[in-house]
Amino acid sequence: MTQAIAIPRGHTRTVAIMAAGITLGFAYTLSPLTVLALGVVAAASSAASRGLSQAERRWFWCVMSTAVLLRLVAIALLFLTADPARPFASFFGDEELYKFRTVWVRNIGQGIPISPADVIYSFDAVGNTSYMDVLAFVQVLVGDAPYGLHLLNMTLCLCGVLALYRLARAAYGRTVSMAGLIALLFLPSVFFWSISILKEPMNVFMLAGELICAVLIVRAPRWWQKGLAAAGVVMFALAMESLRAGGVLTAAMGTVGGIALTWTLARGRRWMTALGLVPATVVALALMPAVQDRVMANVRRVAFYHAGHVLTPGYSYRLVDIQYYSQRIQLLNSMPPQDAGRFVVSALWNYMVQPLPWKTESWALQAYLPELFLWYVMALLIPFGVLAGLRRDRVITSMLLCHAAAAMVLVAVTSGNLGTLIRHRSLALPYLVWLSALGAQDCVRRYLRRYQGVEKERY
Amino acid sequence: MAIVDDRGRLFGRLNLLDAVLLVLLIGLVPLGYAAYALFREHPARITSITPTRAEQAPDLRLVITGENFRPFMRVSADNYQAVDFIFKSTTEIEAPFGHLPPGEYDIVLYDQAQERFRLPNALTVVPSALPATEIIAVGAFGNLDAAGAAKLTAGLELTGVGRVVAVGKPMPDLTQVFSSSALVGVPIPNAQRLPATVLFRCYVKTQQGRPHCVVDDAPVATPNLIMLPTPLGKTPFQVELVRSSQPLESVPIRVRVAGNPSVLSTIRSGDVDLGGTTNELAAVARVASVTAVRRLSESSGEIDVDVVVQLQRVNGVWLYDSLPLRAGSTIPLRTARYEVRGLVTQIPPPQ
Repeated sequence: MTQAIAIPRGHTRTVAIMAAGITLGFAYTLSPLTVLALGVVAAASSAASRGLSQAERRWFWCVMSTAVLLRLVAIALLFLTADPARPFASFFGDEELYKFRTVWVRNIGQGIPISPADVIYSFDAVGNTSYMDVLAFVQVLVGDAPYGLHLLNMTLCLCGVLALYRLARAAYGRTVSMAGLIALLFLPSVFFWSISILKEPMNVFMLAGELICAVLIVRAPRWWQKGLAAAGVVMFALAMESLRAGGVLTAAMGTVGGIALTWTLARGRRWMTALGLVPATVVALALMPAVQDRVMANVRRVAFYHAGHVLTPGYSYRLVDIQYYSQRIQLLNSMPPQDAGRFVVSALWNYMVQPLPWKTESWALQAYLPELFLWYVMALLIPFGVLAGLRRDRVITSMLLCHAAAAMVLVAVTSGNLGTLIRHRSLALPYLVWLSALGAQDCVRRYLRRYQGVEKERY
Repeated sequence: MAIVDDRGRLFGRLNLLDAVLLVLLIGLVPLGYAAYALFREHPARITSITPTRAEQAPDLRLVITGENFRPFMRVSADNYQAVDFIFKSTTEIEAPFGHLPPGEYDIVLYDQAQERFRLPNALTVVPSALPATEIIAVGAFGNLDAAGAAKLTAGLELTGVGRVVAVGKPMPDLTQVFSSSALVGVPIPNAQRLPATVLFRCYVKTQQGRPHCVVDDAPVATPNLIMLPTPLGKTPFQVELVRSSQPLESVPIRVRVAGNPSVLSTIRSGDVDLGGTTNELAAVARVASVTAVRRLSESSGEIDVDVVVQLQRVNGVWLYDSLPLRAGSTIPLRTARYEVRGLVTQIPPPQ
């Protein structure tokens, strides 16, 4: 016969609080950033799950828990498999720059003596971004965190993705937003960037903030709110620029283009007018020598930059004639307009298709092939997504489209190294993934309507 | 008595949850100790270095012993970073240094982040056993443009190396390079060379048993190319002639030259011997006057040549091109037209 054990309520609560406090203190002592990061992720997830239906909430928490758990396991494995001959392990070679240099910068700031060579490297112009200062400051607060920084970046990336998820859900509904969320959380390359100490997680966080502010410029009901949103765009744009060159351009082109597209598409007469006016303006500008000179100068400059990337270690792809690569200065000084035109078209095409599946030379690129095919599919679905999106939510679709276009063009014309291209393509993915998901939904809906006679589907 | 009574107390004394917590806390002690033993920091420290006293040399290799060394650590002697950190074991490493100036140094150990240990005044570097000195080199700065050549003037201080004593006129660049054992002059397109005399401050060092006056790791010797710090940055200076820093004196001497009359007849007053070079600053002798050729046979003759030579007075001996010169010595006369060798017949005493 069993008998219920009566445990005094007050006592139990005290014990539970004590146990939780001890565990938390123990965990915080071991890794402050882990405790802080998991707390922020939990709070952000909770905020993002507000207003979801029961079933959707279940899906959401299942997806988020799995995403966080997998990331924690990956970071734990990194820690456990570290080579004792090195101070710490990293997912990518470039991460060491941030891990080492931010500690040196922090130490210099705090007057802790460091090696003379490290003092020189601390102020090297290569790789110098505001991101260094952020990581250095975090380590002022919590101490050396070669693994904790992975968790910090995971948190930043997840917060950015969750913000975009809420934006997409409001615009395109639960199916599209959930599909986009799953893609952004589990695409292998994005998965690893999200837990890396590279600039990508911080970039996702900032671009999400900038995009929301850009949408609010149009959507906010009051003028002062619109002004605040515009200030937010400027702030995020400057922060993005300090993180990586081209941030301001992406934000400016995305926001101005997005607002212009929204306005144009609001009335049939406007976009009909634009359809005639825009090509005419482009032609008129193209005939002006001053514009031609400026465009040529910029194209030559980015082609020169591209050739520099081709010559970096690793696998690369070419966009101009091979002779230019041996004498890169020719690109800057004497590339004719025909070659410049071919370069731009080739750059955009290669942005979409590289690395070519039959030319993958390393095991890393071969391992990337499944995701590459998925990228091809996503790219093919974008036009359908844009058309469907303009019908569902013109503002957000225009913003996503213009921001993605800016991010894509800037990367396309400067890239030349395959690894860097794959990494930088993820800068456009947070914009494009929702349009692809929407395109997929639209295609499925059309298919069902046409071939199965389904008149009405609920998504 | 029940183990856990109806009020949830263990043996009627202790609340069950309190007991669990107590066991947990007690369990934490060995767990904590195990964690401490496993994760506690093992601070690295240096116990000794070898050698503790060394002569200044281009390559000084320290063997450092201590505790808890790691392969990713670094070592410096004050602000001079070792060029490598050769990890042998957790208790011994080797640290090669290049060019540590004379002085007393702390040996400092760093990990990837910061300084971890300092052994104060652990290393003393003394100057080379052979003392510091000066030497004169005649040569030319190369790879210059006109504007660059104009910046190199007499009196220019070459930081840590020496001073430009005199400069000549710029001319098209020609660098002497080795081709097997011969020297070949290779032109450098669109570049100028500037003849110059440079006073080098150098350390006498032995390299494979031979003493050299060494500047920036390169002996001051013909035809070495030494990179000198100038206002143009590191500028190549090729040595064509070397002499000691004693002052030059113009001394008239008489030389009897024997040889083929047709060759002897080409010797004229005003001829200048550039020491076998084409450098105007390398002039070592100038013909003042020449007697008529005295024919000794059909194919031989002799003349007396009065020559003003650049000599250095060292320890009661005249030095010509760094070799003793006295009556009975032979000296060469080299110009673009001829090369002969003459016997010194008259020379003023060096005292």
